[in-house]
This record gives sequence, structure tokens and C-alpha cells, in this order.
Amino acid sequence: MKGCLLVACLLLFLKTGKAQEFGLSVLAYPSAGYNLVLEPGMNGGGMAVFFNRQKYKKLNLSLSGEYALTTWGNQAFIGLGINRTWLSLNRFEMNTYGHLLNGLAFYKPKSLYVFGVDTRIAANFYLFKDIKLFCGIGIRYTLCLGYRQYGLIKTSLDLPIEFGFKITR
Amino acid sequence: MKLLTWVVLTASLLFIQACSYLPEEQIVSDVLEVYETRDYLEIIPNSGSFSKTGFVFYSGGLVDPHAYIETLSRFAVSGIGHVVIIVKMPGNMAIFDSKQGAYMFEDFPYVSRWVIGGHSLGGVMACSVVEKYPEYFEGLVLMAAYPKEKTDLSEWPGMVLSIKGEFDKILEPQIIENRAGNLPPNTVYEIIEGGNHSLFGKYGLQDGDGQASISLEEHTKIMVNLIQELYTKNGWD
Repeated sequence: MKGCLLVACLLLFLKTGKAQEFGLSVLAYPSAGYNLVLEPGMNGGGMAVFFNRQKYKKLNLSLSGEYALTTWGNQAFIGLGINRTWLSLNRFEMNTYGHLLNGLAFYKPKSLYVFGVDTRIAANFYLFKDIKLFCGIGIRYTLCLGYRQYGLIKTSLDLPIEFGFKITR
Repeated sequence: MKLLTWVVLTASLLFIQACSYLPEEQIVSDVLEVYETRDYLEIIPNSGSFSKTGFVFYSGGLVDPHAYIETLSRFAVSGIGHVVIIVKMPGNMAIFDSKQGAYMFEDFPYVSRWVIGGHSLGGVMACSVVEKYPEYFEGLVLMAAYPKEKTDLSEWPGMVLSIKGEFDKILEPQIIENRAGNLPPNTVYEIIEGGNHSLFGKYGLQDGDGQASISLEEHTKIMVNLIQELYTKNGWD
């Protein structure tokens, strides 16, 4: 069922839209806490590749893939969401985006399902006509229910910081 | 599009290579408490009576830190009791945050001295942290591990114990002997007869490792006796 939904979302994503944007970013995950404990710390870092496709004038559909090294181990997400540009000035743009994240924490003998929600605000600077640098901050909640068999920490509330570039076509 | 293809291919290779070993069921004595935070696992005798010399431990590469709770809890109850801290690392790879073990001591005011240890890659990085902060540690326990080529502890005044299993097929042959010059001359080398690479934790047989001819129970008993001996000999208990 989950797989069908994912495929349906991907088809919708690929069949619609006009302008498109491709980008790469690196992420750090300062953390606000875990489970129900508020405790500042670090939850590792990662990198992401993403693809935005314009659906309406300032609204993009967004697909992302992310690989992260966290205190759970290594995990990867596919994120589906929207990305809205709400300020556009000459060489500067601000946008907000949100993703539903579905992924796996990589383990032997079996990997564990990880779910998350993520929202971020980003400032973009046009370096050239088609290339933007951007930095963003946000908030992310991730949940790995399967990990509770092995350890205490099964949820994490992180405040991701992201730097990267986007290429617009 | 070529770039995207390369990114996807590289990421796929990373995924295939990046699976950590999950722990098998860990059995812990009821005279111990195990506390967990985002940064570490703490195993502490609940009697409140224990050695003032704590043991901080780095897990092997791509092994979940919970996999060492059972084996290290046996050390926590040996002798007069010990506080054991298993440090968590990003991606379960000590290489990504090797100094973390040196930054958490203020969380444990009831410990006044520290011995650091590590299994496999964790031991390699434990050597590096000792080189960086030699005054923080009294001793070093290497479990199937050795210092990096550029890590020189030959003049470090601390005590070093190096243990490996007889049927360890993960370690490069002769690597421990070849790196002996990087460790202090008084380093004690021990081989666990019938042991292998994987039995320092409880996570099953690591890919490529040799088959042990002794049980986890026997392996752990020998390992704990060796570490306890190091503690006793140096007056840390």
C-alpha cells in the first residue's frame, strides 16, 4: 500500500509542471531532543539531492533523497512535499518547504522503517542566472518505531541546517 | 542528468556498504542499571559502590552500540564494580566523532580517572583520542584493534592491553605486530584461544570473520578477566 502511494505520488510529480530545479545540499542536524526529552545536542549530518518542479506560479512540487549519519546509524529518506517561494527580489528569494519523509535505517539482518516530517525556510541567492546558492534552517521530527526493540531512543526532534545549490532549467 | 546518475549510483553503493549490525538480545545482571542518552549508554552498578576509574568504550565500525551492553556489563560487575560508558557515534562509525569520548567526563562526577577502550575501528579511534588527549586517560584497552600508522603512543605513560581472538579473520594478518612500535613498550598482548573478531560484542558473526570454537560466555569471561587484571595491577580498583 505504502509502495503504491509512493509510485502514485511520483507519477503525479513527473507528469505535471513547467520549470524545474535540481539541487544538492549538505545538512547538519542540531537536535532539540529525543522521545519526550528536551536535550540539545547533535544528531549527525547528511547530504541531500532534490528535484523541484513548478506546479503553480510560486508553488513547486518537491522530491528529495537524503542520506544521513545519525546516532541511529545510517539512514536514507525519500521526501515528497511542496516548496513555496514567497519573496522574490532581484537576485534574492525566500522560500518555505515541507516534506513527508519515508526511509530506512540501514541495519543487518534487517533494515528499519523510519518516518519523518520536515519543514524548512531557506534564503536563496542567484550566483548566475540559472544557479542559486541557498541556506536553510528548519524543524524535523523522525520516528523509528522498530528501533525500540534495541534502544531507548525511537524519536528525534532536530533543527536541521542546510547549505547547497540549485540549478534551474 | 549525468551528475544525477552518478549521485544515485554513489548513494546506492553507500547504502549497500552502510548497514550496521543490530544487537542480539542483551542480558544484563539486575545489579546494574543501564541509562541511555543521545550520546552514550551508561552501565553502572546500582549499589552505588564501584571503582573511581571508569571505562569509556568505542564500538566497532558499523556495529550498534547496544550490542556491547551484555559483554561490557560483565566487566561492570567484576571486581568492586565499574562504571562503563559506551559512546554513540554518528552512523555507528567512531571515525566521524572520535573525540566525543573526551568531552563527556563532566557528566560523571563520581569517576575521577578514565580508561578508554575500543573494538576494531573503535579501538583505532580510541588510540587517536589518547594521542590527542594523553593526560585524560590512565589506560587503553584494544579489542581486535591497533593504532593508525601515524598515531604514535610509544611514549605515552599509560598502560595498554591489546586483546585479539585466535580465529579473527577481519584483522589484517600481522597488523597488531606491525603496529607494536606505535604503542608503549610495556603493552600487554593477549590472544583469546578459540575466540574471533565478533565475540567482543553480541551481534552475531560479522561477515568475513572466522568461526569461534568457544562460546560468547567463555570469550566474555576471558576478556573481562584480562581487563580486570589490568585494573587490579595498576591499583585502579
